Amino acid sequence: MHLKPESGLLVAGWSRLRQSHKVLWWVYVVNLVLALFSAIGLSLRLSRVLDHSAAAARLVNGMDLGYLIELAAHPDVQPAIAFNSSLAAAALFFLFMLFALGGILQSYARGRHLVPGEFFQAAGSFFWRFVRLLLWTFVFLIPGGILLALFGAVIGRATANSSHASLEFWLRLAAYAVVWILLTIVRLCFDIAQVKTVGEDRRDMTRVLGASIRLTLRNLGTLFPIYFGLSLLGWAGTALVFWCWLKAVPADNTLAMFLLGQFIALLWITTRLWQRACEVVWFQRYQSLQLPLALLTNDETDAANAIQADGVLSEADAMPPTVSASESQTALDEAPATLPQYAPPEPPAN
Amino acid sequence: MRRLSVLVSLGLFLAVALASAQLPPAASLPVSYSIDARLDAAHHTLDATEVLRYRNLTGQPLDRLTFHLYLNAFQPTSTFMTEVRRDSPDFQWEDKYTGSITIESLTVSGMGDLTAALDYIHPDDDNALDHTVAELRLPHPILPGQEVEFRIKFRDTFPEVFARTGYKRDFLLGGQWFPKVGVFWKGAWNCHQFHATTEFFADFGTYDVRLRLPENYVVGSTGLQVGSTSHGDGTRTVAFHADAVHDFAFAVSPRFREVLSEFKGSAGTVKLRLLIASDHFDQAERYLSTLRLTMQRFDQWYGPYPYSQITVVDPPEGASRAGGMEYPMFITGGTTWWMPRGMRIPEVDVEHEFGHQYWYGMVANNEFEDAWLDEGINSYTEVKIMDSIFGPDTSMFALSGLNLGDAASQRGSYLRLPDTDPVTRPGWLFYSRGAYGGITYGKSAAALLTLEGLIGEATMRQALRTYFQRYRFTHPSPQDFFKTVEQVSGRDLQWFFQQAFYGTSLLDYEIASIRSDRPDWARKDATSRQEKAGPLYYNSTVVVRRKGDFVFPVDILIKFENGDVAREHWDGRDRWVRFSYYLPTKVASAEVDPNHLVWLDRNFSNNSRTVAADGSATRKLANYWLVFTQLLAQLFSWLL
Repeated sequence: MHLKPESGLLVAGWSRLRQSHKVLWWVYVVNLVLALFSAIGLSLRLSRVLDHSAAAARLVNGMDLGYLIELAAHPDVQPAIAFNSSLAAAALFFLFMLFALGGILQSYARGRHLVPGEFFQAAGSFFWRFVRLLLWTFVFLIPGGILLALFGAVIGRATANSSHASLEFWLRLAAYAVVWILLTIVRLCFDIAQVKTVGEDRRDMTRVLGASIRLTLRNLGTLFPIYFGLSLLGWAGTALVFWCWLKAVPADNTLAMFLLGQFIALLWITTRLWQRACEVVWFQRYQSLQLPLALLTNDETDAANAIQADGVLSEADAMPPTVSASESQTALDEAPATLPQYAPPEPPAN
Repeated sequence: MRRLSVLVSLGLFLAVALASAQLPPAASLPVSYSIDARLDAAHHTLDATEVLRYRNLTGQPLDRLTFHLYLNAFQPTSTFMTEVRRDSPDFQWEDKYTGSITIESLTVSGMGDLTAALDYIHPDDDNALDHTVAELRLPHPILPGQEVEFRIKFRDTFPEVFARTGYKRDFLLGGQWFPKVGVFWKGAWNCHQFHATTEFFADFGTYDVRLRLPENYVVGSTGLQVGSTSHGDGTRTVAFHADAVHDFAFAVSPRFREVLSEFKGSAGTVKLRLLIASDHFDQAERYLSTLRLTMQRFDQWYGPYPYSQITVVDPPEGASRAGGMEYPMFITGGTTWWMPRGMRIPEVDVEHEFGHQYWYGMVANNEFEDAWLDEGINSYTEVKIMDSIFGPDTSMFALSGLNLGDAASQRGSYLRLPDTDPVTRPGWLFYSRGAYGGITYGKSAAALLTLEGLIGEATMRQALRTYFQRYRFTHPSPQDFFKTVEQVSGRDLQWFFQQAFYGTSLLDYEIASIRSDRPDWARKDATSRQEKAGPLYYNSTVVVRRKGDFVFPVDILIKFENGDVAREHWDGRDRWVRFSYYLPTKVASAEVDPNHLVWLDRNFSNNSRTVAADGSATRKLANYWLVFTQLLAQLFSWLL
């Protein structure tokens, strides 16, 4: 029986995520701690106004918008400060992820938890490469923005005299969906570029990006559903939690609201890292199918072993390294365009 | 068919006659308009001949008349547009906003063609390019009691709807579309230019309007339809008649869907005619049910609606600027195709605009100089009626755990710019359009709610009922309203009116401090001595401060730890007051205005103080902010 290489990708990705679960928890903790700094500042200002005021009851039992608006305008509350500190927290988290990404991808690639030394070495090693890739990301986002503006102008003009009330809304929604799909494909290309950088220890980011774009576009049928499916999982989970929040949680139960909020935050991180893990698994399988196993480097041997642990290759397929990274790379670059079928390992005799 | 149309016309005549029993007789009114108009729907223009019969009831000879030409405001050099640009620097002029009214000829019975005698004037500013007011100097005066006929040929060009009047696709609202004579009021002509923040003022009269329009267009307007004649060329002429109204507006569209209903009031049955855009048809009942409930309350609380019909027009998508507007017997609502039930925009719109049938439509104050007399009183009655229908905390909005009451909404709009202008300032002299809206609507409503708290709800309702019954079909001024309230309540309230309506002082009382201390606080062995002597007594003090300059008497409720309460009253004249107690219990909390009647207070947070801290609200809001920041951070990192 022949299996496609993408089969079991979700499960395999989940497996990598679990194997390196400390990564997930660390990302969550950093996300929480940075946000806490912003929330604590706001909390201190709010407590001066609310903690000894009976008017606060309007926010505990339900949420009185009138009082909330009055509170936002209160000179002691200053929501602008809170918003700026949220932006600062978001920027810091962004920098953290930019730094940690190399270590995260390396841990997924090796299929095991990295000790701190290995993690930070990987993180530091790939940091500037990912900065260069990030600059390319901004370049690719510009056409997305132009497209959005263009769609908006065209739709606005086309529907200005329409008597159908909702036509403009649905057209804009469709346009946003198209742009979102295109941006997601761009995102995937860059994800694969990052995975490729780590997997092959590459430094020529422009070539890596070009090859990743071609690779992603050729295998979009495999990669996009995985990415979209996991995103959908995140959104559906979020919607379900909000529904529970509104319907089942009493307005004054702050602990339940806190737990539900943290579940959403964790869900978003989990789905995003799961996407990453799946991309790593896919790339490793693709790599292993392009290159004879005898040509694998040290890292690729780890990868092959990881793939073997996924159950795709048999133990006998794992081979010691015999060639340099550049020779391996040349072989990969000359690999066929599409992913061939391969046979699964024979089950054990017993 | 002919017999049927005769019977229908007779029925309509009888209905009008019955309703007219509540209306002032036509002979007592200074104006009557008879207008023949032809609408060119494709080009958004209208040609018309107006016959204005003006009866001089002023008691003095009149050698001039002034006319409003409101449509001329839709030009870039007008005072209206200049003020819009002043308050919204990003506003860009577009040719589609152009509107105009051109007088082609004007003849006066016994005086001949006076077209050349018409001059534009600008009584409010020095803008010679504003053409919204024209003055006609007569070769000889109109004597007291004399009636003169003016025949005016004019052409309208409607703008794309920008403010109240205009078109959007095949929908058109014709408001302020004909030359309207000013009001001779308090010994002089009162005819202000059209400003960005002003509305309208005109005399009561009768209107007969015959509007020729495309056959397939549905039309709604002031008054009752009294005839319809098809011309066989794709057009028809629809005739309307209205008694004792001071304006005439209409709306047309081939896409209106008509829904009829009725209300049985103390003056008889009123026909409710709703013309609703197709995309909003599922919201028809939202409009009509709220309208019926509103009419019921107005009828019971203030007096009967004397007309036999009210027409409600729901503007289509993109024409919302024609919505939320009042004309006699004709109002415009406003909604969107996605409007959820908990967002009560169509309900508030129809309630508020029907309320204007009383405050503006019948009690016809000068909206230029005393805008709050209709907008403010109407906003107050809006709060009362919306609260009675939908509940005080949810009368504006109730969705997904969030709620907003109408009173809080009014107060919120007031607090945005609370002290830039007095309520009684003429509309065009406010600091900005935002200040005009917040103070005329929001502060007036908050002030009247506070007044209600002072004199009692029943007395307030009686005062408004008296005011309506006394001043309907007249042009009252603020003093008429204040005098009525004082008479009905039996109290001198000038101190309140001066501060709330003529001043800009802010009202803010706070519980500044609460202390409970043992009298023997200085003794080190006080505890053992007291315990041997009996229950512990405390010297407790509660300090209340007046932070604003508005002086207002307030109640204070003080609660003690043992469950006892003390109610105090303070006249609020000094800057602070201290209440002291010597009791075997400590003070647990204190609250100014415990019944929440002082809606003018700008800060509800400091109206109360508890000794024990309760961080529930803080934790709840901080938790929301925490999750928001976490998700924001993750969205940023999508770029990686």
